[in-house]
Amino acid sequence: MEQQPTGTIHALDSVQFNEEIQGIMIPAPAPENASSFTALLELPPTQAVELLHLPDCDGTDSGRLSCCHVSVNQKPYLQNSSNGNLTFPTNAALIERAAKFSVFAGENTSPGEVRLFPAVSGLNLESVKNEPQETDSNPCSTQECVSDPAVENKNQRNVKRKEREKKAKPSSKKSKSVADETSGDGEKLPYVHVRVRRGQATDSHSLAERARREKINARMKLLQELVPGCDKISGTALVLDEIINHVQTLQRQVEILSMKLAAVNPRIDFNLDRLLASDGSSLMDSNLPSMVTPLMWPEIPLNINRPHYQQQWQLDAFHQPLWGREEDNHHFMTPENSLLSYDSPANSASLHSNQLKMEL
Amino acid sequence: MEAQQQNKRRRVYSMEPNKIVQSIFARNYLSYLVSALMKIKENTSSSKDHNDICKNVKYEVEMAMVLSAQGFAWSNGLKVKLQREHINNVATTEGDNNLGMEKDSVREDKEDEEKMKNLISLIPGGEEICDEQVVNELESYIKCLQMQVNVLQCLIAETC
Repeated sequence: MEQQPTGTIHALDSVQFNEEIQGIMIPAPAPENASSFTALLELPPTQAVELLHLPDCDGTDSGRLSCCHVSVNQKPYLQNSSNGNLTFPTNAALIERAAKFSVFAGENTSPGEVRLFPAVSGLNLESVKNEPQETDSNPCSTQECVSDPAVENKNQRNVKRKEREKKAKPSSKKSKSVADETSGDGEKLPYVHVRVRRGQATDSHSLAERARREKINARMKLLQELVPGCDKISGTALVLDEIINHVQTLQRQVEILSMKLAAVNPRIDFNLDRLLASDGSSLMDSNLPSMVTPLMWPEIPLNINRPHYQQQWQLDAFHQPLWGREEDNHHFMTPENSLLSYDSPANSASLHSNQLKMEL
Repeated sequence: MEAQQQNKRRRVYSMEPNKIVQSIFARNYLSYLVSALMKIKENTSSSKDHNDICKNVKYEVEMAMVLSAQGFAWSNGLKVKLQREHINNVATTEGDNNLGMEKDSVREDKEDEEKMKNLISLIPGGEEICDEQVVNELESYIKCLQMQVNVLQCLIAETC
């Protein structure tokens, strides 16, 4: 990526922007710190740009940017809270990086806007090792910002640069309080101006809060897979409700079952359970399936560490109750249901135990 | 995590340690719980209050959970909570948390925040989990809860 002469502002920026986005998105760093940008950094480009709410993203080769253009219009909940403007959570790490490869130091801020300002001279560009593409385009874009009289264009580029930096920024632990510097001097300290959506507070705390929340929201997808039936639900609120319900249900079930267990406790025939318990420990060392014939079914999930016998035991579990265990036959109806539900962790765990073996 | 094979003893480092814990969770849980229940049964005299038995069983159930899934933040939180309760001899129920989910809020993001906070409060020790780990902790907690329920159901069905 070379620094191109300032041609048409829009086209130049968008072209550079696209390539940088593609180059940057590939080595996307894993979020590991507590700063507010990490989630945004790990977000796929569509989501990250959604947050940026690019008003007129040019149709480009990069599908991501065009996606962002589309998705921005289709995200009502973002727009509800944004009312047409963008929000930039602040991050001191980004500030620092921005400072490293930016050109100009300060600029007027339009009322109601907090804008992104790198503060350090562009001579530091060469010293920046990461993502040289970004450094090349940054001074260009910042220069654009200075020279461009149109406020919207400036904002747009700031948006783009901000997005770029957010995506490219490797994680580092910085306090969010650096955002407090946004209103003040841009000359001496690196800081980050953040654009906020209309109607929302520019308070650093609320910005940080919002960033944090957005980061958590970004991980809701993972949670959706946990709770059965959640992937059909759209909207974070409903998914959260579902998860909360699920957790509460599980906890109540545990309670109820423990009460039942307490009621049953005196009558428990612990012979079988003793056998089970002893087998449970001995199973760690031995692979004799014959030892566990009395109670095969709970052993199935217990034997996940021994893939050799897994399939055999899974088969046996289903056969045993039918054939041999007359006194236990009627008990196996319900446990089998739980066995079936056990199968999924068992199967997934078996895969990993196989992976484990391969690691040896 | 260590996986012992029959003939060789090698240390295996999984690429997904969570899965290891979950895969042996059931066995650990069952062994802990059964031995604890046996002790309770042996110690139980006929004069003992049913409530006491309930409390003991509940304690053992949750302690088995803690011991079977060590390494998670919620496991520690649960342990702390259990120790506190054991000292005070008070049996609290997690399901009775007042979540205040009917809060009315104009802004959607605030509702989401509230709900997220509620969700985190459901996890034992959830308040102290840093945001990065919330999802991981939630995932492991939900999975372990499910396994716990399964194990308990099996146990009860077996012994009824």
